[in-house]
Order: sequence, then structure tokens, then C-alpha cells
Amino acid sequence: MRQLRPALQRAVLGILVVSLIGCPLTFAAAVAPLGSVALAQGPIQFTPDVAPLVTEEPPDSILEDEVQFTSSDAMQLCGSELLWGDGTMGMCLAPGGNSYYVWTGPSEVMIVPVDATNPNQLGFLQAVIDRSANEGRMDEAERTAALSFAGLFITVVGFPFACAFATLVGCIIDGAAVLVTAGLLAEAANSYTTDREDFETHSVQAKYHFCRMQGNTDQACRDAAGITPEQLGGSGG
Amino acid sequence: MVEQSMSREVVLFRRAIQGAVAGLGILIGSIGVAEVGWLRVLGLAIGLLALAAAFTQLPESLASRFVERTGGKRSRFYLAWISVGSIILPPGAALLPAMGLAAGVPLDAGSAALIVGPTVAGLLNLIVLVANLVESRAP
Repeated sequence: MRQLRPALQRAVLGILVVSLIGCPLTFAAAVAPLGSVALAQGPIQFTPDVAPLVTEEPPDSILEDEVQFTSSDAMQLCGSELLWGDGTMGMCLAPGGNSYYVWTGPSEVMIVPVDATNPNQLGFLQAVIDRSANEGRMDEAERTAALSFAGLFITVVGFPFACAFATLVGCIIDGAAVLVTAGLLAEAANSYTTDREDFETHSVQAKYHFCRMQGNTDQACRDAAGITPEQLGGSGG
Repeated sequence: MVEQSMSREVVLFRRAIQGAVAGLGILIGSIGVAEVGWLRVLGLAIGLLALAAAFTQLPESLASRFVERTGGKRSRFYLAWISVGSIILPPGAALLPAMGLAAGVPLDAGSAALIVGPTVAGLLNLIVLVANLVESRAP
């Protein structure tokens, strides 16, 4: 028994050493391809090839125009009830209920008349709703991962104390806690990776539909948004 | 000579435990900032309590009991374990929000707290490790 206990302690210690090195490495390996793809692609440059319509009339009376206010101005005018997306990409029902404010950047706001049969309007709406949902789930995964790291931190750093003050039972319980927190961490990283990919897909879908709403051709918008046929296939447009 | 060596071990352990507990306080406080509602209050309260505990007699008491309990055996290994764990693990919490920021996800206050807090905790423990290395090499 005396020989068994140090042997078990060494075994638990061995598992923890592997976990301490392996968990962060596995975690980093799981998310690294995503980062490299994002960095390789870089920010999508999207410049609509349409000159602003010059008119003497006020913006409310024209069909489509780039207006001089920002997405936060538009969000303030619309209120929070009929608003989808966020300040970086979204749309809302303008006062009066006849048109939408649509934006794909804080200073790139467009007015479009409400048209429930326009597939690009519906596609843009769906894309920004899904993009916001992805963003929310990514925030949640970030917090879960941070909590898991806190748990891993406590259990790994507490391992010597658990073994010293609670002997073999303490070592085993602490070792089990390390494995559980490492599992939670892996799950959070997996969830984040999936939502990050979906977030990118919905972002380019929104850019594509925004471009189409400006009257550009399908191919020009595909090129401008950098969207692949697979990414476009899921947007319904 | 043995007593002097033992007290040096206690000083090194106390510093490492202080760094680990303070780092944990900063990490949990940052998670609290990223949360909403009562979870934010709870996270901030636990974080502040942990941070305050780092400056009480608790780390010294724990360090002396630990050194006494292990009898100084493998104490440097345990010390390295605590120090390295305290440096590596907290900044791991900043990895996901930092990657999101690099890829263009809008940065909110919660994500910013999750980047800054854990990084500060890791750096703090790096300073503790350097201080301990200097102390352990002193004559």
C-alpha cells in the first residue's frame, strides 16, 4: 500500500503535466486555423460602384439614396423595436414605415423602400439577424471559455496543495476537476469556432445583398463581397 | 542554515501564492465585467475578495504550512508548477476575444475586459516569477 500510493500520486501527476501542456496546445490548435484564415483574407474591401444620386428633394421622397448620417443616427431615429443587427451591420424601419435604413458600416447607410417581395431585402434581413445571433453565441462562448480557464487555473495551481493537505484523495479529486474543466474548455472552443465561421458567412451574405439592393449585377456583387457559391447558397438569394 | 533555507522557501512560496491569488482575483473580476446582471456583481465581488486575500496573512500561512507539510522535498518543483501555471493559464482566457477582435468582430466592453484582465494577471505572475528567481539566486 505504501508503494502503491506514491505510484498513484506519480500517475496523477503525470496526467496533470500532460493536461497542463496538452490542453492549451489543443485549444490553440483548434482555433489557430480560424485565425490564420481570417488574417490571410484580411478585411473585406467593399466599395459600391454606384455614384450617389444627386437630388434637390428631401431624402424621404426618393427611392434609393446614400444619406449623410451614420448607422447610430439611423438606429436612434428607428428606435429599438424594429431594428435588426448592430451599428456595424444592420437595418431598421424608418419613421413612417415606408422605408428601411440599411447599413454595412457605421457611415455607409442607405434608404430602401419597404418591399416584402424583394429577395435581396429579405436575404439581407435574414443575414443580419443570423449574424447577430452568432455574435451573441460567440460572446457566451468567450465567457464560458474564460470561466473554464479560471477553473483550470484553480485546479492546476491548487494541485500541489490538494496533494499536500488532502493526500491521495485530494490528488485524485483535483485531477478529475482538471479533466472536467479541460472538457468544458474544449466544448467552448468548438462552439466558438463554429459560430465564428457562420458569422463570417452571414457578414459576406449581408454585403452581397446590400450590393444587390444598390442595383449592381450578381457577378459584381459576388466579387465585391468575396462570397463563395457555398456561402451564397445558405442565404436563400 | 536549514532554518534560513526553510524561511527562504516560505518567502518564495508566499510570493508565488500571492501572485496566483491576485491573478485569480483579476481573472474572475474580468469575467464579472463581461457578464450582466447579478452575475456581474457576483464576479466582481469574488474577484475583489480574492484580490484582497492576496494581501492578508493567508498566503504566508499557507506557504509555511505547505513547506512544513512537504518538508522542503521537491519544493522547487512545486514552486515552478505554481508559477508557470499562474503565467500560462490566465492569459488563455483572452485568446478567444483577441482572435475575434483580430478577425473584425465588434469589440464590446465585456470582450475588452476579457482581453485586458487576464493578460494583466499573466504579466503580474511573470513579474513574480522574475522576483522569485532573483531572490532564489541571491547569496
